[in-house]
Amino acid sequence: MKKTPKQYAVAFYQAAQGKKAGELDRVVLGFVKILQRDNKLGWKEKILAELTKYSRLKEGIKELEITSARALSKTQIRDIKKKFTRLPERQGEEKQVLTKEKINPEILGGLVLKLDDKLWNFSLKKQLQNLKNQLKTN
Amino acid sequence: MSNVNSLIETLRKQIEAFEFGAETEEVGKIIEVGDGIARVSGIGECQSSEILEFWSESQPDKPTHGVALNLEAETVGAIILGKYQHLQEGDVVKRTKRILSVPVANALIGRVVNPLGEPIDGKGAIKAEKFYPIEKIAPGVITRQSVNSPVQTGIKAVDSVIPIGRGQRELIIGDRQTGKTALVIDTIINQKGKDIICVYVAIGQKESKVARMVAKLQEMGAMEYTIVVVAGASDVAALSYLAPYAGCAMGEFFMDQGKDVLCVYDDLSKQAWAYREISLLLRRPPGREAYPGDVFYLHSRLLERACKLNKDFGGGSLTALPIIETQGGDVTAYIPTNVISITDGQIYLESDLFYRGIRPALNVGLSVSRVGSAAQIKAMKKVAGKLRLELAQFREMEAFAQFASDLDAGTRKQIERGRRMVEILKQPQYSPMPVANQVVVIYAATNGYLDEVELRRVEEWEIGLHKFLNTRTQKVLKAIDDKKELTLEIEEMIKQSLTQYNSEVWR
Repeated sequence: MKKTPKQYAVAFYQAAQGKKAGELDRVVLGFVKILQRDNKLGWKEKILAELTKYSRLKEGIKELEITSARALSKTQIRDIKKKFTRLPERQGEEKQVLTKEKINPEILGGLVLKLDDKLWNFSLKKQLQNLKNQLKTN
Repeated sequence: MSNVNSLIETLRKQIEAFEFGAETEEVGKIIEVGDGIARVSGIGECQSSEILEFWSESQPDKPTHGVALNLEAETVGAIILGKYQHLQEGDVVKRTKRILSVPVANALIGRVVNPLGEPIDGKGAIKAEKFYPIEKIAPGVITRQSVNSPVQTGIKAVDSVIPIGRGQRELIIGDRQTGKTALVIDTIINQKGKDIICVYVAIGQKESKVARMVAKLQEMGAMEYTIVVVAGASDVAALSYLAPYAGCAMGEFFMDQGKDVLCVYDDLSKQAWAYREISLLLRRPPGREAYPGDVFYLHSRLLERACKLNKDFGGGSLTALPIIETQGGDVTAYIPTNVISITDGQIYLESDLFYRGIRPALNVGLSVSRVGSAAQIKAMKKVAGKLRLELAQFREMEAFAQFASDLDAGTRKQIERGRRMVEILKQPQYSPMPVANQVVVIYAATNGYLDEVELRRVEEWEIGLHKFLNTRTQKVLKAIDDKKELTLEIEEMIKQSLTQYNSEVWR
């Protein structure tokens, strides 16, 4: 049966679960040998991406993507993360949210926050778009 | 100046009243796109048949719409409703949280639209009154009523022997170039003044053919009560798949107002091909003839929406005339047998009859209407019963026709009368006939008024008769139209008219 990168990633995660540093080296070596045997060394990027995704899912780690028009300082990012995790539905998530910053001058100002499939668009561009639509309908 | 000031004041107030807020959207990403379908990751809460917006960098202001069909563990498979070449892997996909629906309005009448309700006839935008879902559960048993009023097609062979009622599904089946579309166009033309809204759904047809047909309907005044929904041959398969449902939804808008609607689906074979194409691209398992396993359901859920509603639910009706194209006259193929088992009867058109000059090329023997005489006025029921019987007897004896000189006089007479009946059922295109005229002509054929007319002159005799009826004995036609039955008095009037015509006009 054809194996997928996700299946390799899940198998590696489960094999590495609870292992100490020395044992982990052995697991990694064994995994690389299996990839070599199966001729799947070319999949390493895909397997790594799946592994990241799977391990975050298992450990409840989420990635908050923050898009802004200009670069934000570390303090600003920390504040955003704090305010975001203080939301009632996000209580207890502070340690589990990683932030990823993106700069997109096209949003003009404000922020666009993305977590999993959900997107919160606080950008200036979106507000101007909404204002334009409202003026057009009225 | 004061106008300018008031305008500025209005704008200022609108801007002050504007509320800033964030919208929560659910987004995903295209991981695979091509051939009119896309695979999307994310949007885990997407619903089946939900409209999705595909945002491309090459077209940042306007999204392309699609419909989610496959809800899988890791991805969502969607069909794209329009051009897809500009979409790329990685493009953002947003949920709209709206199930696929089509705008409906009275303003649709007389327009040519695509399956998304967008006008394509260049006559301007159509303001929607409501949005009707494309997929809908058919009305239940209790809301329905049995079919009791006719849809007059204006075609003698259909209205007499294979009558169609309002709320019925009657399949029109035959090979290519046998007159299937011609039959439905004549039916639509004949609905003038009969309070029926017509919806013609063109699926996968040449756009030049559709344009010619619309021009003809315009010329005959039929566009005043007709909507044309077009998914052309150059459109994506998704539009061909959705077109019949969109047409049905538009028809249901009028049915819910208590009106009678006629929906023609031309043709469902092409819809099945389009659905097969989409299903194979979405990697659904292929079944017989590579069609997906639910190809029966594709047609059954469409045709079940045709019904006659009872008075408590408005009393409206939706009559469906699906068309299926067979290959080599094979009605036992997969799709034809499926649709035959769903519909309330079928009209067979045969190439053989067409080439022999019998047009419309109806095989009266194999065609059937399961609603039958419940969908006929009493006058037609009376004359058609005799016609059906005599035609059946003629068909049995036709094999002996070559030995006509060796047969007894009675049999020879029956064969000759049968030939004249077949001749009388021929009808030119774009010439639908009012039911009163049909009753008189069929009465004449079944009661021997044609026996002395040469076979090759029957057409000429008939033309003369209609001219005579429409000019000199209009009271006969009026009486049939008013009473709708063949009383002794009306029958006497018909006999007198026919005798008068044969003796004074026809020599």
